[in-house]
Amino acid sequence: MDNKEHKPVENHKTAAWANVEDIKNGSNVAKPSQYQTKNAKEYVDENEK
Amino acid sequence: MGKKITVDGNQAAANAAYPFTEVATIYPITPSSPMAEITDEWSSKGRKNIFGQEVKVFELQSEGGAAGAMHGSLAAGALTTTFTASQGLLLMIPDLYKMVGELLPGVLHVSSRALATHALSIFGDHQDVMACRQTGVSMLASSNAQEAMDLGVIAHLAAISSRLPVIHFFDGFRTSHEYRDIEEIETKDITGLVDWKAIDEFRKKALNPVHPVARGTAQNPDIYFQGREVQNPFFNHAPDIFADYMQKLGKITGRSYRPFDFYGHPEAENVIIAIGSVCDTIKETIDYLLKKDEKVGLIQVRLYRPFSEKYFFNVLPTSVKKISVLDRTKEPGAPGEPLYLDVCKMFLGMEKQPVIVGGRYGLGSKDTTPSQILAVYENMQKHEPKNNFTIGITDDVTYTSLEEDTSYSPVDDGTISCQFWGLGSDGTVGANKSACKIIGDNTDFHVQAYFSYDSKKSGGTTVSHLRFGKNPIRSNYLVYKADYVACHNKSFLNHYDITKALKPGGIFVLNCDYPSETIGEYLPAKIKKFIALNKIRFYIIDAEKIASDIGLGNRINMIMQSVFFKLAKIIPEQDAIRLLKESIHKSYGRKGKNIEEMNFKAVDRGMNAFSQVTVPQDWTQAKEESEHEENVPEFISKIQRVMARNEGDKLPVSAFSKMEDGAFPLGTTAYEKRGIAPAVPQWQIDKCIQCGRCAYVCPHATIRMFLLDENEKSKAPESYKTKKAIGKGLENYQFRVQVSPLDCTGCGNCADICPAKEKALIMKPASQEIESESKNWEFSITLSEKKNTDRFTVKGSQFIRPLMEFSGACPGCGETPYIRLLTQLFGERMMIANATGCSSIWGASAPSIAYTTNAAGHGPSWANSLYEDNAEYGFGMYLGYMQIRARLLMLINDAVNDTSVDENIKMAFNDWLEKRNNNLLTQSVSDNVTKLLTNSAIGNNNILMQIRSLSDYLEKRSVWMVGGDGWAYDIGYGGVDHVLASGEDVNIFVMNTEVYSNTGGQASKATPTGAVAKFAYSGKEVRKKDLGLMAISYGNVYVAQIAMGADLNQTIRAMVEAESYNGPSIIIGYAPCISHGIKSGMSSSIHEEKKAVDCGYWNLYRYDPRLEEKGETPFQLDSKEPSQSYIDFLDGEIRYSQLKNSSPDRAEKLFDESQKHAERTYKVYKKLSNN
Repeated sequence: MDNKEHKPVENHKTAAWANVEDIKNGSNVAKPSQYQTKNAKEYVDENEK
Repeated sequence: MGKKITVDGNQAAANAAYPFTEVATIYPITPSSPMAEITDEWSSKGRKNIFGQEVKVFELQSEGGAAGAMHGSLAAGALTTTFTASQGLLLMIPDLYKMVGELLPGVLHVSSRALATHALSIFGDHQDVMACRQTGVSMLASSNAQEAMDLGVIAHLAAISSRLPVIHFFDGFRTSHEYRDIEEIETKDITGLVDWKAIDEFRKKALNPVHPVARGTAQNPDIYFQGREVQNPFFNHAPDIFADYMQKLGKITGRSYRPFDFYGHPEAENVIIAIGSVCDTIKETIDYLLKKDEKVGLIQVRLYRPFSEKYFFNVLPTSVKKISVLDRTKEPGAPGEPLYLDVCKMFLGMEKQPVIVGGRYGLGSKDTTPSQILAVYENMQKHEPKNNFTIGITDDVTYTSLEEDTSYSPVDDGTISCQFWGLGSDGTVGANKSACKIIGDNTDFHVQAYFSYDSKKSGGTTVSHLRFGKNPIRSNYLVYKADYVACHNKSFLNHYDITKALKPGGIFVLNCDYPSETIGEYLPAKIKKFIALNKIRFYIIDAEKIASDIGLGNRINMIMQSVFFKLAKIIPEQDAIRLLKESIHKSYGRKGKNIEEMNFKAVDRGMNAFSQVTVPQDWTQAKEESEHEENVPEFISKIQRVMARNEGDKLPVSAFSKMEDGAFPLGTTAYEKRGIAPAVPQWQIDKCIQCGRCAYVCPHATIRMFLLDENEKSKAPESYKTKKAIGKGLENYQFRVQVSPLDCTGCGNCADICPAKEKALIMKPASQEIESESKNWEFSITLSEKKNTDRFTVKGSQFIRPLMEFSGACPGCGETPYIRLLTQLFGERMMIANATGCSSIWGASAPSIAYTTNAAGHGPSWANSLYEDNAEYGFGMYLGYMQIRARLLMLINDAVNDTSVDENIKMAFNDWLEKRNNNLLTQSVSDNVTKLLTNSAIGNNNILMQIRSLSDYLEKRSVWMVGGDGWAYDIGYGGVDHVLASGEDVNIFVMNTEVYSNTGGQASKATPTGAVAKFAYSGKEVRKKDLGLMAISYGNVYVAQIAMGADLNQTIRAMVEAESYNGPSIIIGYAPCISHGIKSGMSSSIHEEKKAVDCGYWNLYRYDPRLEEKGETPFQLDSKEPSQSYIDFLDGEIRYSQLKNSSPDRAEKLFDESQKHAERTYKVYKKLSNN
């Protein structure tokens, strides 16, 4: 695999679900804000397939 | 002039329908669902129709059901409406015949969509509506949102007066989802047009015990035919009725329509005839050609059925010499497409006939541009124009396509065109809708906004195409020449040609944290060169930092919107700030002052925090480093990579030459390497207890356990740390947990569930893990699969390669872990029939196929037929395979008795006969037979030759029908029930998200009381259906209800028991969904399953008929008595808590009922288990 492939092509840092409001002790697992959880929900509800 | 509003076509049509609708019978299907959703919302909020009532909205179990209820409601005398598309409309066809035959004035608003043929497409064309033209229903077409409102009104008025049902259709997505500024027609404006006398007559003819009649009689050859012909006058008069209403409405609105409208040169010689949104593009192209004095024109078909020659010839210029008919449909094998044939027929027998040719365009929302339309006019200039042509594709197989003139440049009328590249759910689409509303509703600008999504439900790439202009916008196609391009996610630079559409001197805005002085180091050479050569005004902003500073977390949309208003200068800055803040107050006011204030700050900071990059001269000479040639399969290099770059439109027809039947290769998601995750788990080798839970729950199969023998360990990279494997049979192996950092979505469920005293998985920044772990992952997947463990245990299953990996599902998806696990248990012999839905989208959206193969090349065969027929489709697979295997059985029995057959082969046959259906042994006995059937062993023995030709059928297959609750509980329930009743050895897996997740969160019969969903705007009132209990009633069906996160062992036990049961089985798995709005985040979706079980919201059980045969109780309740608060669980999910916010009293009542239902259900289960 070359360097180009190592570069993310769709980083989710700004995705609503990936919001970091808080971090769980020990695992560093992120907890999003309720505002962003709602935004994540609204997006999938609108993104009909 | 009506009030100016900015809406999409769906809302415009729903607005037209509402006043005339007494009953709406509905069912969700993309892209029509929003019409039904907003009707339900208006009704819940008390909006009145012309009869002073709220519309009675009722969701049925399928479109067939919606049409049946519509027919019945009309028969009872209520004006009834439905909204649908595609296969949904096809399910309504039988009732359409009935409604026409009984002269019932219902209206169907259809956002027309492609049909599933070689593949499913949710996008727009006319294949669905054209399949209805033979029913007798009137068909009226709109080209844009304004027409969707205007002609939507006419559809209802004309239906009432003509006594015929009407399909009012417009293009799916292009019109249904495109935002436009339109003039609203208010109910008071049109009440005077209503034919009250006809409504009165309609009521009088309704079924009524006070003056009863019989409808739907059975008729014999003596009278049926006459009965069909006696209705002719209704069809003859209908066009006049439509024309009359078009004229009358035109007097009110100032917008007049006719059944056919002409546009172009009054002495036009070359004319296109077309329907739908393409007509606006054709008009735009005509304007361009008229400036060049070309005699061209368009006949726009509005009333397609009844097709009126009178109105057609009223508008056709006598000067016409050549006609091109454009059809947005395809009827393979027909002498021509439908509209083309209709037009040809009108000129039959005429002395003077124009040359008439026909062509296809725009199937599955293929964009139709002015240059394609130019090609059509150029074709007409030829002495012998090409017939049966296509535009918009390069057909290098049957050579139907017309060549495009790419030199076309649209007339510059000052329209500002923009492209915004966003990440799904980053708020870009929402912000752009808001920008359009602000500009459309508050200025004299016309607006247009169209949003392209890729096939991922969460994340993925969105491209917003926006236009703003002082003149009406008729460019019904994507933005190809932009004044303004914004890239909201810097990772896209690595992949897409982001600036390609920019006009010279245009504006490019990049959200990034790169310093202005050194940004050149981060940009691809192609983009730098383009910026420099085209004198692009290049701006950067670190919106993520600003969002974080002001407390918005990672929400950048308002900042980027503010930058747009400042730089695009469509409206003065101070006005923009004021209007943005008003819009924020309207949108966020109810979400709390804090959120409102933060967004105000985002506007203020966005206006000033960007900086312009001084573009160095040497960027004009920028050169890409030479690209490393990849060693990948041809499909990946020639198709997948092209599609991933958003360049699939360039693929010629011949690219699919060996895939004519729509079959795609498996395992293609492994080549995507999207690098989604902001953080990925890092394995803590010293803390790991080797339990396997992390891999077991992983929704994306990106964390796995590996065993290495000595030889493999010796070849491992230096960074590849391992530890001694623990467990029976693993003594000689090394153990490692490996993450694929470029495939991991970073959901965090693995780390969340890790039971080690100190977590053996810790989330770390993805960039660091990509650097350190990518090579280790590549090495891991070269390791051999060890057979030393019991595959049917939690831990043992995780040493088996998942045959469903890296799906396109949302991070933390509750569905995928179940299917991934099934493939680890039975994958190499699975046949999967997958109902349309989220699981068909995340599993097999071309070209990303998540299903894959093992080292032997074996893996699940996967296919999707439709939505409603999935159980029957899978059952058909079973019947087909079983019939062929039965022949194999017959042949092997013959071979055993054939004296010329070698004794070793006979022994293998006998072994096979004995163990062929044993799930654990079927593979080995089958492989043994195959191995022995060599050419020399077979010789000229005809029976052995036949057996070898059928050797693929030796192994017992594991047939699974999988899908969501919308399928199993609602639309497909009849099939599910019938398959369960068959007694045959098939398996059904239902991923229960308690909502129609794929179509946007509509309520199903699995939705519990109190949950807010679309079509249950005020919270679902009735209790959910207990599908498992219904299946148990058969007595001979294996039934299980599971929730992986609540009991890992019960899940695998249920799967193994179901598969081994020699009869029908059904497993219902609780599947948390991002649409539930789990407040603790999707990182705890697996844990949410435990919470659901602990509070009694969801129960675990297994019903095994084999136990009854042993004299034991077949029902085993695996859930303990609820120990946690039911209401707390509901409070933890937005789908419930939002009702509490909007209607606290109603929430309290419904939540209480929901808890009582749960308590009652648990009691029933307890009784069944004899506990």
